[in-house]
Amino acid sequence: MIRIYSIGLILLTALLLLPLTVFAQKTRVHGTATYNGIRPLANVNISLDGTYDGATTDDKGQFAFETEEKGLFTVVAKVTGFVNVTQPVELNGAASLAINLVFTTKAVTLNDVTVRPRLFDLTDKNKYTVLSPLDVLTTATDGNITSALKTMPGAQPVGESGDLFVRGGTGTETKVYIDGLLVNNFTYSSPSNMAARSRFAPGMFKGTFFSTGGYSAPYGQALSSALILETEELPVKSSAELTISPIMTGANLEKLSRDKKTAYGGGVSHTTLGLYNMLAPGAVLFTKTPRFWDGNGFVRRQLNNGGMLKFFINGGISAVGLDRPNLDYDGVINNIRLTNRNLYTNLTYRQHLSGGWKWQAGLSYGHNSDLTSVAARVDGGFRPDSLVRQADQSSLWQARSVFSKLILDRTRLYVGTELQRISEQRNSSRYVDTFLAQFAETESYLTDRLSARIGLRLEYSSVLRQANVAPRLALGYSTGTNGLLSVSYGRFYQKPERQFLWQTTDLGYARADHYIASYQQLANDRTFRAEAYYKRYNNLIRTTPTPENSGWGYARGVEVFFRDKKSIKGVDYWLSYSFLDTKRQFLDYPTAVQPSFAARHTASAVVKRFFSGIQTNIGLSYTYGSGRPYANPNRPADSFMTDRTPAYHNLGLSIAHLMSIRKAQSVLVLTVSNALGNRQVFGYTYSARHPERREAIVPTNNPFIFVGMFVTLGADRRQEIINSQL
Amino acid sequence: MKALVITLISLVTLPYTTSAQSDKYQKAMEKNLAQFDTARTASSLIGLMNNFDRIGAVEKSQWLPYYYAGMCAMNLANKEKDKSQIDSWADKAEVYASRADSLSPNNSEISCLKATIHFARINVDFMSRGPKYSALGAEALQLALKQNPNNPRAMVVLAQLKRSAPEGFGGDKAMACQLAAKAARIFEQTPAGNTINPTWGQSSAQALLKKCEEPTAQK
Repeated sequence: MIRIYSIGLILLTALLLLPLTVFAQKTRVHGTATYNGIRPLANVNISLDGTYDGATTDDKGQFAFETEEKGLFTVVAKVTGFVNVTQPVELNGAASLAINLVFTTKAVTLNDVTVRPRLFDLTDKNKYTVLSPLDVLTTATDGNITSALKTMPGAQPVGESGDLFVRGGTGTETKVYIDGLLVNNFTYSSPSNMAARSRFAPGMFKGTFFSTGGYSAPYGQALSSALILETEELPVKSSAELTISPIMTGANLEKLSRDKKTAYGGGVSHTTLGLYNMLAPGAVLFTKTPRFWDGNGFVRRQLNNGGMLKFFINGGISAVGLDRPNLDYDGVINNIRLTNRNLYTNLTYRQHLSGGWKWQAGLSYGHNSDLTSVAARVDGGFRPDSLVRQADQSSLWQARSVFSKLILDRTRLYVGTELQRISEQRNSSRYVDTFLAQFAETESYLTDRLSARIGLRLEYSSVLRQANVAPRLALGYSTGTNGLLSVSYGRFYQKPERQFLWQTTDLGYARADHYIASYQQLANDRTFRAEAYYKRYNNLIRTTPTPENSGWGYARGVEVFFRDKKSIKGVDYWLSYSFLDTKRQFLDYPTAVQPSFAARHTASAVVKRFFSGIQTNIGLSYTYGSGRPYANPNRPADSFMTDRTPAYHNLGLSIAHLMSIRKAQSVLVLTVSNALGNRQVFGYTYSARHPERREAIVPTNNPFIFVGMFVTLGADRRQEIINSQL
Repeated sequence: MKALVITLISLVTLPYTTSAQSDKYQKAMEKNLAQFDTARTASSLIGLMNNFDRIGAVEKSQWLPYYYAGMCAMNLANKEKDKSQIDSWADKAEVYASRADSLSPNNSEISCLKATIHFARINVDFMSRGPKYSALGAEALQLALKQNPNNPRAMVVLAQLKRSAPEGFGGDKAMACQLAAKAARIFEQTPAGNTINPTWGQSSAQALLKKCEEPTAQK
């Protein structure tokens, strides 16, 4: 008995010590992985949990592997873009085992991997036109965000204003947000009919998202368009930048802490057109050279709990004085002076909370003061009785809080609140408004191809004593690997402008309803987008005889955009065309007509190329706008706004040459706007007393040339450490 | 008696399984690394990445499986022709690199991998991404050389960066050649053993050196 046992034992031991492969019965596990049982999925990682065994699916979604394991196991299938699938299996020694793995759920984010599907993805802001800071710098001829956006479809070439006029809307129908917080006075203050630049440098923002309609529920109070800017995160290293130009001088410092979790810095700049106007006097006779002093500071800190705190402050003082002939009285000159003080602060915090919630909060204060005086000058002397002073003071406090969470694996929910306290004062007229908005929005994949965004926004304004409900809806259908068909609807409300509310607060919201259908193709550095829209305006403000919400209007049109970075090596170009048919009855318009800021046809072409041999980037942009209407008082009332300005042509040139001066990275920039010197007329101002007299509204400088040098000093000691390695 | 048999069996199998496990790990790694050295197509790299991922999921204390899974993903990012997909591979590579990092902190090889991932992201848009990601990559290489001053892979990658970047933006062709020469020396001195530790980089160092010896490179 013992012997038998001993033999058995020896045999058993031998059996165990011999390589298992000799004896083990292998099982071939095979099958397919699909999405919803139909679409085969390639590159799926199939594994027998707890072992090395597994395989990767091929293009047909098929896989096969061999295993020697026995017993109960779990098969795990993982692939980017989907929620993992697990299936229990029993390996009972059979030679083959077939399993089919069916993925049912698309993931917006999968574990710690950010998924960027090329299909309709709301989180990627496909609905928006996205420009990088570099796009702005190499497109705009004045380093100005809004000028670069004017080459995009939907934006009108309104050269006499720095605002964005979108799809038949006025400049005030576009609102600008920085990290979710509203910015009033995004551009510098300027006398009427003179375009002003943005106060903020494009390099401050990592992303510029321009929505020309149908934007989502987190934003409101803009009938036409939202410009959403996101500020930069922590810099890679400390650096300093100097700007040297006859027009502008400035210095900026950005310091990154040793632990790389805090960055702080700031800068000052001074802009003056003194020398420029001396060398090349423009159309405007300045009595006080336009001069701008600006300063800014920021702190960004990554907290130990993963939260990100950002603060920035931006302030500026500017002054300008100019003479304009008084059209009503011969020999009289109107002297206009404008002094502006502006402050904007923005504090934001974002953090991941427990339970998958994400929290974004913001606090902001802004203040703007414009002091304008107009005095008549006769025979070189001021007439004291003609002096008119206007003091405008605006302030805006706001707080914002947004919570978001991924629910049901395929839906992201956003819930937020916005509170604003607005004070607007002109001389002794003043009103204060407390404005509250609540919104909720979901972004979800309904099926593999169909996605939806459903939002609702509630607003209340204390000055209007009125609430409103604004629904927003978007549906996207992916037509293959890169195509996206989408429809959207949105209702948008906007409070009347301050000049009306000073007169009466017995007014209501103006309203716009947007209906948009679009198709876009995004692939391999090529973007094509075609969009058709209809926009209906209701309750616009009419001013005659007194302000009331009885205006209306519509805008409809078609836009095409094509951007290509691929076809010609090294060349990035885009073409855009907008057709706009719009009429509105508002302000003092006697009937519904095409408004003065709307051009029927707008087209632009931008081409950029970096020549690496000479380290130079050359960009050209051309914008065309068909003639815009203007009111001619010499015509009868039924011919209101039937005259058209000449068509608008603008060729912009931008040359940036990279060079190093004593190891400092430098960029030498030359930009020219309206390089061909085409006469640009934006409209006419007519004399009230002598309607036969008029003055054309033209650009201040035409062409305008900017030469400047930007020197970056990287305050890093990387080189020393490398040298010590050699 | 029965109890004795069971005890004996477990006594025999226990040490067997542990040593077999590490032997199995070594073998599996060697087998996949042999394929990794010759992998050229995207599908073979994806398959290898998944293989390393599975090994990593079982070998919870080994950093090398995730390191190589990250190398596969980084190579896939470099091979990807669809620029909109480069980031998703780079993201994947970064996840693997940080997993490896948590298993083996302060590892020069992992810092070097992270650098190459940053460089892969530049290909999405050279103009807008070049400055940021080349700086991030240079910083990761810097860290790699601090963690191991004799890591020849970090030297080769740094040499490639110094050679390709324009002067004034961190480029320095002479230094590139010096770094390549030093890396090549270290590679020669390293005994060619049967190892699953990172060994890549020698051919790149030699290719760089060859370019340095061409007369045109001297100016």
